[in-house]
Amino acid sequence: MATDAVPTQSGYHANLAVEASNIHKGFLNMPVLKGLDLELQAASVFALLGPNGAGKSTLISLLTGVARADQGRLRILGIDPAEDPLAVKRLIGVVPEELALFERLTGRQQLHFCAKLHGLDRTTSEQRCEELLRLTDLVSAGNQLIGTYSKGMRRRLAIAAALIHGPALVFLDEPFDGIDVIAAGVIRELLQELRRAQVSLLLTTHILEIADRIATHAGFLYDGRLLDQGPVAALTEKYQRANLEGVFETLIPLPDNQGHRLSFYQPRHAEPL
Amino acid sequence: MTTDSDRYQPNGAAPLPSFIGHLSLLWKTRKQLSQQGLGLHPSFLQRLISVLALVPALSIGLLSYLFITHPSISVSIEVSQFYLNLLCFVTAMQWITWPVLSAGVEDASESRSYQSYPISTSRLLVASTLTGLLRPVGFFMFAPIIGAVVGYTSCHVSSDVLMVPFLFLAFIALCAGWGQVALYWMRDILRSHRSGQALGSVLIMLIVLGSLLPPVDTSWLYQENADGSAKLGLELQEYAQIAYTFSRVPTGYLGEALRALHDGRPLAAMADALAMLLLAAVGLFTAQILLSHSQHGKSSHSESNNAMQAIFLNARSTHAALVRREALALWRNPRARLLLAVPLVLMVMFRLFSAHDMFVFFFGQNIDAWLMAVLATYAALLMATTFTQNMFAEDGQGLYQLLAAPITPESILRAKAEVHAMLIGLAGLGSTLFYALYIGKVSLQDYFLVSLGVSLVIPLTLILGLFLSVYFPVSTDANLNRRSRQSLAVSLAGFLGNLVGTSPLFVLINHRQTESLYLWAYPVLLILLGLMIALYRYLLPIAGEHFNQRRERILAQIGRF
Repeated sequence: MATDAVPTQSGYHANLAVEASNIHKGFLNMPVLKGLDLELQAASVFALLGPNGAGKSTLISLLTGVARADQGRLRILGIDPAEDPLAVKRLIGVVPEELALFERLTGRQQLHFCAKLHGLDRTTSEQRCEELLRLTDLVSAGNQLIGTYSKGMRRRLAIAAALIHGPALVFLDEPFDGIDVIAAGVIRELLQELRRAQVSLLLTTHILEIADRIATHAGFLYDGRLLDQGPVAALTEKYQRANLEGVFETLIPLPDNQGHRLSFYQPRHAEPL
Repeated sequence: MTTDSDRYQPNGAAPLPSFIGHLSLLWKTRKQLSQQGLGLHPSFLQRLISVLALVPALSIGLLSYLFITHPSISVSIEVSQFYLNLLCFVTAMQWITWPVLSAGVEDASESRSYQSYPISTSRLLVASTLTGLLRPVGFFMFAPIIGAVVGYTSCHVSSDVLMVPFLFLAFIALCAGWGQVALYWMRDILRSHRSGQALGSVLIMLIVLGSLLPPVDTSWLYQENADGSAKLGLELQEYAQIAYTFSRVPTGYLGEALRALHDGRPLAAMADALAMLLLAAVGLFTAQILLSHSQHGKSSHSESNNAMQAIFLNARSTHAALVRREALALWRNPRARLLLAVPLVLMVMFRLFSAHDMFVFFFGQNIDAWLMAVLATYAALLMATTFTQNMFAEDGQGLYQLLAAPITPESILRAKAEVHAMLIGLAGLGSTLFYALYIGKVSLQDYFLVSLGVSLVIPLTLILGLFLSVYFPVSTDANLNRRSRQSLAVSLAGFLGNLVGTSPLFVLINHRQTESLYLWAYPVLLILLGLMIALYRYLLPIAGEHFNQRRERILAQIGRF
């Protein structure tokens, strides 16, 4: 989809936080991303939507410099991660789906460690750590080993860890996966706060209702390709649907097993269902 | 009104597998997992490695057979009985204490993974125990006793020979049953958040007891005959007494049963077999209780020490933070604590059982440097083979954070290597110091020679560890719920490489008859150490580059649980 961004001399669009074109990536000769194009406007909240196995996590690994693309052009905040991966990593925060936490650190230690990895001084580290612990409702659990945390606590901590250095762009892979309503509420508030602070966000989620509520932009990934992307309002208007869930249903084909029954089950009673 | 749940049912439940079926399933799964761990498809190479792994076991078994059938041993039933009972005791102790010595390498994951399937806990435990016997370490540990039993039978048992396999299987069952008890007990200790205190307390208690209790009397070793010549060993009556003592404990029931067959008392042999089976059942029952007990919820662990909470705030650089994190992870790793204590416990036992005196009696006064070197090398290699050869194992998903952070892969490796160097050094050099202070029969010259020689292990194990970690990463769950083992081939490669590194030390120890040796031994070891360090420094960036290239694979492997 075309954008109205203006290219700079280096070819980078100044108002794009992420610019990816013709990205290919495979694992063990299995293609996962097949010529993907993506544009993420600065200060926007981009919901990357797609079924399981579409390549969302792989794409985040590529964008965060953890994995390398086999082919394609990639720019994160104007920097090519292949050329200067450390410069990119300084500017971004990432919360992978499997949560990058060290089980044998306490929550507080994890945040201090992340702060140190990003070169923050002692005072700033301490101050931001306490603020993030408060914001994620983890103050009382801050001195406990992460190995003893619940899934929701881990996810909140992982988000806090990704934010401690104040990144301009944050990637969140399934931030609402497997957590209760309370934890989801805390995370939603946190994301709204980031949105207010004009931090660029790219998040993947299966909960389309949340995407509808938070996202300003959306992209639909299916079988390694981005089928469409753009502002949420433009997408719903284009496909004449009320929300992102409707657009999703229009764009992503449903599995071909509707109405199928298991052959090895049969009714115990004679009456029909 | 019907509900969905009672309206539908499977079209006739399929019959569950029999016990043999379950056994076969578990065995095949273990085999497939080990093949995956090896990173190889079933191939000639893999079969070759499997066969080669059996060679040491077969050799030891054959050696044991030749020993027990040697005319000087087999000439007397008392002498044969003594060695057989001794071997029974050693084998059983080895098998039962293996979970401790290997720090839970043989984990209990199987019993947890398959619990949701329609298999009873007791059957799962029995099947898991039996299939566990058929792993390479089982062949290795039982090979000597198999050789000895075959040898003893061929020399001393002429009737009811067909009972011997049954007796032997009962003995194996006994070992296996109580091995499971040790396994679950050890896992419970390791998983407890007070494991450090528990292990430390046991170690201190052992050291104090070892200092206070009188060591086993070994004066009989030096008794003389009437004409003043040395007896050089035991008299038949003493052999008989010791053999009898060994046969009074359950581990000696196999020997006692074979003796009963020799004496023509098959019923007594049968009673021994039944006793062993009964005790095996008691062991399995105890293991089952421990297993169900250990499944209760995890406890929370708070770190109240403010200095520890601020450990990263005080770090002066990113590198210092990386080093501190790795050190903290190892410090909080119960297996590292246990393995650090194992050589010290061995030395306490060494003292209590007067093993030192026995070694001196058999090998002469110069044995101390050897003993110290072997124990210290063992301590260092224990750390290296468990942790350094698999540096990313316990990072889990945390490795993603390291890779996503603005740091180079080489800096991650360097920090890890520095901490592992400290750990190996602590284990190796700590053991030499403990030996010198606790056993106290070593000269200052030998102490420095051994310490310097053991230091050689550090850079070498680091070099090996860097590349093995990058090319054969295996995940380990920090909560000890699950653990994948490094393949036998990788472990053997690391172990052999490390042994090569320690060979200069043992060559020097072997040739240290003259005082002048020390004058050139120290410079030789120092030069070798310098060369090793230079090699390590040269290879570190290369390993870092390989790490960078393989980071996706490593992450996929480590984060997989």
